[in-house]
Amino acid sequence: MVELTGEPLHILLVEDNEDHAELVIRGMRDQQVANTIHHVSDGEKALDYLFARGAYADAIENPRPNLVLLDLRLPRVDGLEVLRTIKTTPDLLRIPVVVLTSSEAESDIAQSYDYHANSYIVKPLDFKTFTRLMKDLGFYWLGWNAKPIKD
Amino acid sequence: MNADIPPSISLRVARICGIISACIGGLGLAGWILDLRVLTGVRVEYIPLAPNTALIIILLGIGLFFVTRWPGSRVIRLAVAGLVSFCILLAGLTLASIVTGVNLKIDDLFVSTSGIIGSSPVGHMSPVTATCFLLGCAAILLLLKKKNDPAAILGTVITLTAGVILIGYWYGAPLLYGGLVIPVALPTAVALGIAGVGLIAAAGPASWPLSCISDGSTRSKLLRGLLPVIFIVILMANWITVFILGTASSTVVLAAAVVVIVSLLAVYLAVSFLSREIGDTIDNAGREQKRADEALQQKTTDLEAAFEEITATEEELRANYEELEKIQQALTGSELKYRNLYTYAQVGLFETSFRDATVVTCNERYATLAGYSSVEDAIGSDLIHLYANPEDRTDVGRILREQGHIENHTLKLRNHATGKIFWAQFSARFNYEREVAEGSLIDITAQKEAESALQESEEAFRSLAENANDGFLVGAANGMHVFANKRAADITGYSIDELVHTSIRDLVRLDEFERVVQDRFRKRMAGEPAPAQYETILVGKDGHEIPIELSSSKVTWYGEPADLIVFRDITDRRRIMDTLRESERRLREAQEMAHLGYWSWDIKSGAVTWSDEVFKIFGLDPSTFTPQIDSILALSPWPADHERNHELIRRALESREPGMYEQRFLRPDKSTGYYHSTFQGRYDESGNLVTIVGTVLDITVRRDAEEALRESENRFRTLVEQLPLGIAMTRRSGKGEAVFYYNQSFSTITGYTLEMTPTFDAWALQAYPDPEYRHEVFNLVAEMYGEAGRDITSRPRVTRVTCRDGTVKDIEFRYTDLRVFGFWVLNDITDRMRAEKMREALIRDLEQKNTELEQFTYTVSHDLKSPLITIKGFAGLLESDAQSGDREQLKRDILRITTAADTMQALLNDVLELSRVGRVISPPSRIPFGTIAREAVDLLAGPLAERGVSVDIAPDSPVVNVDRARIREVMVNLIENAVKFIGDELHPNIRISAETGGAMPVFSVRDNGIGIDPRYLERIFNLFEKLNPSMPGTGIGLPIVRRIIEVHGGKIWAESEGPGKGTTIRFTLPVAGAAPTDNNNTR
Repeated sequence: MVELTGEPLHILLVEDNEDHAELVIRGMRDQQVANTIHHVSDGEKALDYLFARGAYADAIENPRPNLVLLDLRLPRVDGLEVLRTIKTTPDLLRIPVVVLTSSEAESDIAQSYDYHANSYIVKPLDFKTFTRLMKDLGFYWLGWNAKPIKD
Repeated sequence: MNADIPPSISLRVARICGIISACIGGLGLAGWILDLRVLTGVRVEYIPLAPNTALIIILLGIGLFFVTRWPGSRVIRLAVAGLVSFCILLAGLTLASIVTGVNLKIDDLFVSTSGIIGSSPVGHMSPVTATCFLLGCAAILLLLKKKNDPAAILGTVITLTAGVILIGYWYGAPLLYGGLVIPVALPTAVALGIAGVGLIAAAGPASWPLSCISDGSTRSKLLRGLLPVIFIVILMANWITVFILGTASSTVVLAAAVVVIVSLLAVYLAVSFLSREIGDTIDNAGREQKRADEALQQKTTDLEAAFEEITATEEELRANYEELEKIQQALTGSELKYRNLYTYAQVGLFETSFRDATVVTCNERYATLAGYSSVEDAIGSDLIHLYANPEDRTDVGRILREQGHIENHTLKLRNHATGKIFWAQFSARFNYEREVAEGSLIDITAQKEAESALQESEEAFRSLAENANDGFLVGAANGMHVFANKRAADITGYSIDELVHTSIRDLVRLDEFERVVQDRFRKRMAGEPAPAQYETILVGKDGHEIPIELSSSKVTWYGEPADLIVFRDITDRRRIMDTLRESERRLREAQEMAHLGYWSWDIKSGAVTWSDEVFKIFGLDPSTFTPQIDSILALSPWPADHERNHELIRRALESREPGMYEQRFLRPDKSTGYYHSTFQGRYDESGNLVTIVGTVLDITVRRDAEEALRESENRFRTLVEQLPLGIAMTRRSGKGEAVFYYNQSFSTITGYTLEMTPTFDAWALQAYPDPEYRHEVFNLVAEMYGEAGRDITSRPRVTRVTCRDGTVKDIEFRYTDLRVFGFWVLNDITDRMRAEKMREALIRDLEQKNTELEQFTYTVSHDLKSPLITIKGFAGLLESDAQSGDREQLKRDILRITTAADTMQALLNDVLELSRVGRVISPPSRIPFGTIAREAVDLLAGPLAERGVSVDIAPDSPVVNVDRARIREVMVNLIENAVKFIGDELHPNIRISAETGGAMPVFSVRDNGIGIDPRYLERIFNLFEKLNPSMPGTGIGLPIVRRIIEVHGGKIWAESEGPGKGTTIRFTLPVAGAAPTDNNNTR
């Protein structure tokens, strides 16, 4: 069990659907592990955030995330592209990226893993399941999962 | 010679005597038994014969009869011996009793006697009788023992005794018949006499005394003739004397009787002597005569031997000799016959005088031979003149003087008259008594000639035999060889000596001998003449077999019939014959196998000869068909052919060249054949045509094959011509690859003909104008050559060929190397390639569309799922919202749900719309593009005005063939988008234009709005793709537009220089004439 520090963990949520984003935010709000969700609505913005450029240059406001929740179908820069970029950038590749998408396409799953996604979650339709998923997700990735040390 | 009295007669006489005496005895005995005195003695006053005497006489008579009748039978002999023994006993005892005076009472043994006559007792056997009986018995015993001579003597004694007794009776002198003692009875004397005669006769004419009178000598004859006469004469004389004397005293009578007897004796002796003398002399003369005859016969025989071989003379002589023999046989001592012989003999007989050698006597033949006209002329001639050679005379004289005779001397004589020389055989003998030389002369000229001829022929034969190349064997009648020549020895391996001791049987191989004999026998039985020559096999000395040809003929060899066998070794000949036969056979075989026949025509005789094969070729039977000179040509009943052939033949013969022609002919079964004939004339020295010879070869098969080949070639050619593939046949030559054949398709495909591109290089220059490409092609070709060299046919290669008319076609080439030539197969695959390209394009298209479909499905499901998640999620949150009491949140969440539901609905509608758009609903119509654009602008008048966007539509837009409503929809969409993304542009403007000049006109809708990041230019047409999610719209607009454009067969794309630089959507549309494609894809 990781030591719970006082500092909340940062999650970057890359999701173009407002509603879905809202669901995730609401779902993660009541987690045991404190966390802050930073939501961007397209791939380009996600990369901007990660690279701390553009509108997200401010590192304090836009802290380096401990976890990225990535939807695949994104306008501008596609989710897979974002994933690939993260996992091929030395500075960023350690950040665990969990693909959270409604797509269950084999190709997407394969591609995601090819790009070294750390996990792939299909958004469930059922609310109750969705709620539990959120809980598990938070617990696992924020609780159990050890954070890579930033060097 | 005892010819006069054959023994059978004397025996018969003996038998008769025996019977008679037995009868006399029988009578006597009967007389005693019956008491009839007459029977016992002839007269009563005479002394009767005693009973014992009678008995003995009977027995002796029977005995004599038996001995002479059955001299061989042992039984008889025993019986006779028995009888005789009994008689001896009886007579002996009687005699003994008389001599000794002891009375044995023998006379009364059987029949009692009594009485006396004169002074003698009656019925007693006289001692004389007894003695005679003893002698008689002894004689019979001697006869049994075949001692005939003593028996005859005894018989003679008995007979003489009986004779004396009879004379006594006759003259009445009892003393003579035993008057002093017991006299002998008359019947007894008769019986004794007869018995004695019988004994003499039984002894046979060979014994004395019969021998004296029974042989053939003159003495016997005289005796036989004279004695009886004289006896009778004397007896009669004396009896007459006695009678005249009367009954003189007994002394006188006795004396007379004695005189009679003495005179008989004397007469006998004298006669006997005289007869002997005379007889002997005559006999001697006769014998002399006989000897002379024998000598003559001997000479004749000699002469016969000398002339045996000479047929004419021999026959003559034989006839003469036979004549001579006849003369001899008939010789009765007649000198006339002898003289005839002498005179007429074919032998020249002569006598010459010692003194002067002149002919004293001679016969006709001599005279003829010597050359005198008659015997008289010849007499007195000098024999000396006869000699042709003086030396002969000397020789003859010498021999004669030395030996006294000369036998069969051969010399040459000269005929006195003609002077002709002739050969003669001369014999002579000195007769010293008569002082003549007796000689004979035989003309042996003919014989001599024959001899010399024979000798010559023998010489000739010998030299022939010695020099002949054949073996000669002469076999005598017994089969043994009597002559063999050197060659026979060489061939057989034996020496001549060895051959002379063999017969032909020994030389011929065993089975061969039998075979030949059988063969000859069979032929003779069949009435055929036996062959004069035949082949057989000899076995040589060393055992190896020699095939020979043998002929035999009958000859005379040194006077004997013999077989002359001439044989030759035919080993070589056989080998040659075999070789010849073999080569003939091979030739015939070769002819047969090759179906080649040979014929010839002899001009002069007109004879036409065909070999067997010719008949076979034409299907004719040699036994029924006789070939004529035009027979072969006649088999072709086509007049045109005849003319042609005759011309050909005539020309060939004229030019003296061999000619040949091929011709069809009709076989007997009406089928057609073909033959090839060659012919050539043969000429003599003068250049005249003598024969024509030729060959006939059956080429039907070849012809048929040619036909078939031609036909097949035609078919092939037709096929090749008709093939849609181009075929070019090439031959490698020094100049590279020369093309000698293009088929029709080649020219059709490429447009080149054979004249245009006679070589591969010429072709390459025209078909591949680009030097670099040509170089590539050459490399390809080299590879193909290599492959064809290994695998016959190369792998196919495709090159782009520039055809004559300038079009470029994709041609697939294959090369096949057949050594003698190669050929290229060209396949125009332009269409195929195009079709392949199209197919590939289609496949790509399909794949693309498939991908799009997948994408679409994915997108749809994803995009539909999304609002669903929202709904379900917020629906779930509603509960907690209600619990928390946050009504605003509740409201907001409910709104989200409904919004999401709406989104779903909108999405579904768009999808439906999109799929609908994929199908062409309305038929296309021709309409100017500008019209559609204006309509669209009008429809969007509101939003355009609202935003203040100006629209420019370029004039002169082309006429398009499209679904009006759809294209209008497209324009509406594009303008809508342009308006949507105009951004903050102060003077928003949309420009609609068209560009022609390509296959399809390109239409443009340009705005000066916010533009698109070039990275996303492709993505904007993707389904539900919203670059800017905040913007309204489902993101289905551009996909629908694209679909519509694509359905019409056009393309659509976006152009933008980047954000803020505006966007241009460009698309193509078919002009009037091209129909839009109907695509059933659900999109």
